Amino acid sequence: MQPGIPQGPQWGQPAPPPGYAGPAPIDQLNPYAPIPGRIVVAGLTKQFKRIRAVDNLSFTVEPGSVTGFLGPNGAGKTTTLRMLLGLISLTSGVATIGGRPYQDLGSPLRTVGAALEASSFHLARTGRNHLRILCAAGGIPESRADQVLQLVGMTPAANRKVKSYSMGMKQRLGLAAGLLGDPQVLLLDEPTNGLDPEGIRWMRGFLRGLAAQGRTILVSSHLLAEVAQTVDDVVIIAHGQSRRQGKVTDLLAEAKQSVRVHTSHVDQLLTALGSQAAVRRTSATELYIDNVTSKEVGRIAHQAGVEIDELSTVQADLEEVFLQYTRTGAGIR
Amino acid sequence: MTGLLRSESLKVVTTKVWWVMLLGLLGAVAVALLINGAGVTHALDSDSAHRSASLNELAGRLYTSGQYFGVLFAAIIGTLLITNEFRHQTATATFLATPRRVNVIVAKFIVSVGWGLLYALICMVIAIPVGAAILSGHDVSSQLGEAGVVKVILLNLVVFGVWAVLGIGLGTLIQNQVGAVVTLIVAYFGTQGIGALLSGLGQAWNIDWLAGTYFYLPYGATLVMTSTDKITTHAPAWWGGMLLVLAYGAIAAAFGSWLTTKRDIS
Repeated sequence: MQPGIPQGPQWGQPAPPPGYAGPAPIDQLNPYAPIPGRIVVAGLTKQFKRIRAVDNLSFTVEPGSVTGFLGPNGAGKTTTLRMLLGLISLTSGVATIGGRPYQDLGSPLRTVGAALEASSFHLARTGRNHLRILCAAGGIPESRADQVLQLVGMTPAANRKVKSYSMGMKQRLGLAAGLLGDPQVLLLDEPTNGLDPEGIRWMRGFLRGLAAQGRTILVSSHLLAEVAQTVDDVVIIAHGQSRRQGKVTDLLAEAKQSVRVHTSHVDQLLTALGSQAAVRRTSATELYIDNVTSKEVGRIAHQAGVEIDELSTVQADLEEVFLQYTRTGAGIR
Repeated sequence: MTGLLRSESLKVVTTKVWWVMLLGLLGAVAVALLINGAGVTHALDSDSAHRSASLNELAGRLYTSGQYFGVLFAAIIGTLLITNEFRHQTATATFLATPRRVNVIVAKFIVSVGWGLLYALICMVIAIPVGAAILSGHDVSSQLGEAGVVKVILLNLVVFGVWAVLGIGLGTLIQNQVGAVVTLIVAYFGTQGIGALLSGLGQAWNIDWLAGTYFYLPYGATLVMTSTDKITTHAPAWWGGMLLVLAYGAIAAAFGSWLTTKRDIS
């Protein structure tokens, strides 16, 4: 057993749901395996002066998959991403992309793209000039700046100073910067932060498009629902430690389903459902029934001759599932 | 490296600080020419045996007009080039594009030295013709054939470059932009004041090493380096001044680079 590799349930995470295959075999976690586009974090720890921001964290992101990196604010997501990108030194452990630390990537912008914060721009500079500067440093033709601006729909604002940009425009500019080298791997830190609903919808669609092109994407968020439709896998962390890793479909399956019924004959329906059913009566004409399908409820009502006005399935709040794994004290320390 | 140099140069020209500095520089040259021109008039009016400065020294002062504030502007360009990265958090994007941070720092040194040289050239393009005209107004030759004067002109270029390096070094030590620029300005004028005070005390008490203090601090050493006359008996020779100035620049550069490669960027 290598130190720092998660071994499954014994380190205190909730029991895995049925069908969860368990953590990946140790040889697959070999951080130096030269698999292009694979992100490996193994036994990663960052100790700031008094705070252990990341604590023995391990996970992998396979090439071509989209992984949601989830956790409450202050859980260590940004610190982890910054360690992967060589911006923050590691206290211990390994953080590699394609088997190499970021500093050792030959042409980093062409291998990995990152969009970390919407505030990382010189406000008096134009968006286009910001990108030209990065092109020059990264050995990318400066014409690429205009291409990526077009990609993110920022061409009209290209020659305006960043200080005139809205939050959404800054997020788009950050994304454009990450795409300069047309990288196979993308690391995105809370790309929908501060966006209005329209911006969020745009960003989701854009990320889905990037994923459909077969890119490896690691996208962090403090909202599960935010990324649930985009990602294949999730890594949930809190207090710098891994809390849950697996397929997003498995996680969604944990979300409780209820059936909502509207009827003016509530009492008759209650009798027909019997005493075993988990029923919550929310008003004189409304019931919530847990752990059954709407088909089942419809059949029972039909047999009992109860007239139903409305019958619908309600997915329980995804965030409830998320909180289950992360709520052990506040995230901010 | 050419890409990095272009990147760092773009950083300077894509904001307007460089030409605000340039305007200040032109003002500084104009004021310095007025003062040095008056100095020439004053010196030439007195009896040649009692002149406070040689003709070479007078010419050198004229031709390096603008240096007093110019080196400060060159240093500020250097300081801003590095502190902007932290103030606007562009360090993240910069070090993502170039994870070998020492290369970024080296590029910044080269680019800011280049700006320092450019500022020096701009100063001298104005100061040399105007200075020569002032001298010829007093029926004095331009002295441009004199080795001492040519040396001062060339060293003036070095001075601007070294001060740009000092500025970068300070910016790597003090990340806070306002803090770094204020420290630069206070240190520039403050060390002159303290140096002058200590030198004055040294002269009053006849303590030689104390009397020379002024000329061993960065600005005094700069002055020594670009004078044709030996300013006082306590001052080092011009090459001593040059070595001192270069040493100050090298220390700032080395320590700042080391610190920047170690630092967490968050």
